[in-house]
Amino acid sequence: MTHVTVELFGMSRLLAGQTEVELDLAGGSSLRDALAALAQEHAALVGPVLAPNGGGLHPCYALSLNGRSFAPDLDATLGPGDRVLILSTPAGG
Amino acid sequence: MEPGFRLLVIDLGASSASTQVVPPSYVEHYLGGVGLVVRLLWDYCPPGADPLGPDNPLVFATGAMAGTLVPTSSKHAVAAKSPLTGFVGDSLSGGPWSLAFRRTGYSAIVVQGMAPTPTYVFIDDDTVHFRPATHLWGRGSYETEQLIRKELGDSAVRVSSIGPAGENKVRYACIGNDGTRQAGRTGLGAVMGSKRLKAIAVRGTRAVQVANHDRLVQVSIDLLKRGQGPATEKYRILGTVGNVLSLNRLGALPTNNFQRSTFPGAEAVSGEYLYQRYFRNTSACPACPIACQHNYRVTEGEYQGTRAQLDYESLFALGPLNGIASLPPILRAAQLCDELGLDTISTGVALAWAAECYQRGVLDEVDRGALHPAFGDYEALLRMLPRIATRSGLGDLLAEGVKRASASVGQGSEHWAMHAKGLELPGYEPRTLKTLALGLATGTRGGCHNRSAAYDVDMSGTVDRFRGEVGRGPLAAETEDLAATLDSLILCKFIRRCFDDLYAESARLFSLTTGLNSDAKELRRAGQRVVNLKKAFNIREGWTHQDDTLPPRLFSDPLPDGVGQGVSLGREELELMIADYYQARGWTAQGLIPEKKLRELGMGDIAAQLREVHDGHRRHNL
Repeated sequence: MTHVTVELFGMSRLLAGQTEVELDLAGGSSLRDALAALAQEHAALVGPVLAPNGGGLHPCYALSLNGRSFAPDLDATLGPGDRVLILSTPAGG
Repeated sequence: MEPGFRLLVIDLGASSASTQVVPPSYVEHYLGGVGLVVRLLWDYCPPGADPLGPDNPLVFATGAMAGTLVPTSSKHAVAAKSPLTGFVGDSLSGGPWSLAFRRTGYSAIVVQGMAPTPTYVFIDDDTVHFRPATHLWGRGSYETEQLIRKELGDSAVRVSSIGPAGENKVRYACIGNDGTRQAGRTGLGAVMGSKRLKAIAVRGTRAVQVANHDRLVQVSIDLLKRGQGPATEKYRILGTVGNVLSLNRLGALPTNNFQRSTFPGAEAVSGEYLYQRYFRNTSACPACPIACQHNYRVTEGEYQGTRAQLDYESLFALGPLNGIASLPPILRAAQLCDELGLDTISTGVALAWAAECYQRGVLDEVDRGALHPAFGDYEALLRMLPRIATRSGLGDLLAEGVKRASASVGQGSEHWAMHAKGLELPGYEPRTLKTLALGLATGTRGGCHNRSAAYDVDMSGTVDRFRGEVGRGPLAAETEDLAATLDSLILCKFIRRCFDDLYAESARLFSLTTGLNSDAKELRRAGQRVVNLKKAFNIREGWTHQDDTLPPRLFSDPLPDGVGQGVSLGREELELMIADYYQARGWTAQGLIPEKKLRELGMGDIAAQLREVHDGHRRHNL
């Protein structure tokens, strides 16, 4: 079992109504699996933020692993304690 | 189809106005908006002009599509030689003023000279009136708008004006229109103030003629629908203030004058909390499906009654950058800045610089007895805003901008004066966004995120944002070209993700509007021309390679916390990226534009004039 935390920012936080989501995934799960589990738990995110059928994120959102790397390979394997960030891509203003 | 774009040339000294036609090649080469105002600035501003003297023209222009149904086209650009940087100063605003101005039948204005007494200009379709503004001098932008509308007896009149900051030539004063919209950056309000021009009121009643009306309507409606979809939802619902928590988590939220890049009070000033606690409604520019302008209201407590619009940059500058973790005073500060006519970014950076000066005991002797800026002290921040706008006490020093203020105070305060070319930095940490660092250093208008959105590259997942390296030059140049194209068309950047092929689709919109043949390739070239023209202007005004740099703090102070802990910016790292950028642009190793490059872009006239200026300098130096 791999425990990961999804941190929600911006619209994803408003839609889900919470700041973080804890997920317990099968060992060897990927980022794609994490997003699919998130979609199951928070259907409101599907469409505006999460692409249907585990296709990743809407292009206006960015995915970061532990706040350092961006848009990592969705098939990358997650490790215990990893934190997945769903962010609105910053822009202007 | 109109016979070209009409230009109104106003001479304030003589209270006269004349109508000219913008050369068709200007529209073909530079599109409109920022491209056109900078081209006219090139023509009308004599080399070496004093930015606050009568020779510096103040130029306004809409894009070709303003006044049509094309979504987000109701915007205008303003330019002058910047009193903050001494280089090209250009800024955008939007709203009903842009539309009303375009409906006068004009597309651009060049304001020359200086009025003998405070004046406002009323453009009533074809007729230009010069009216006294002594009774308006000293009043805020919003009040000025109301009074002018009342005086002219028409609530449909739209007004672009300056507040006390512009009148007092605060070097980062802005020009406001329609209550809350601002041409905010590079101090164009100070140029307007130096001309004793309080406002430009417009009443436009003419329909805007386009080349292919039916097709343009069809294409616009399609884009309008896309503009209401998920690609713009974040602007519609939360707005750019949603950046606060994201950037904080990424170690990219400048805090306490860039001393750190995470803010412990970020949740308390987050866009999410702002939305839940203070949001009232949204408003939109004409022809805009996005409605990104979020109106907030404070309904209780010390700042009850405050109404303001707030975007990320204002929130960062008046909040975390000054260590302030409470939204009501930040909203009040934003409202005050709008009324006084102060650029919120430069104001926030100037106050944060002063707060650090006091923190380090550098400013003890200045403005003794007054409440001085200190990190976290929102009462002091609010008290300082009118003092800056009226140049009272310490406010007079801060009104000069951090480059001049730090040069005047010395004692090492240049180290924490956060600017590039004199323009105060926006709310993105360059040490953890290295491509952005390149964009800020090389940008023609100085430290600006809107003319080089290179943070897009840093967050694309294709680069290591903590490391500067060869390859960033072309990427940064591409974001700059795109911004120049959008700013010249003019289309709002918030609609950029609604296109499948931005260049091809916007070229089509431009062609349907103007009747000029354009395609994706030509539009890209137009963006490159605009960037090169701005650079040519700066070279003409004395730019050298040494101007493309960033504040010393970024090179020497590693970040103390967050995911960027320990990261700084290497001088060699930045120089490497700058060299790569110059190469990508086809410029020399010293960043100068070879004549051949300008000719390749169809800018032979600029090349010839630039050579004349260089020859003149050489003769002068002999």
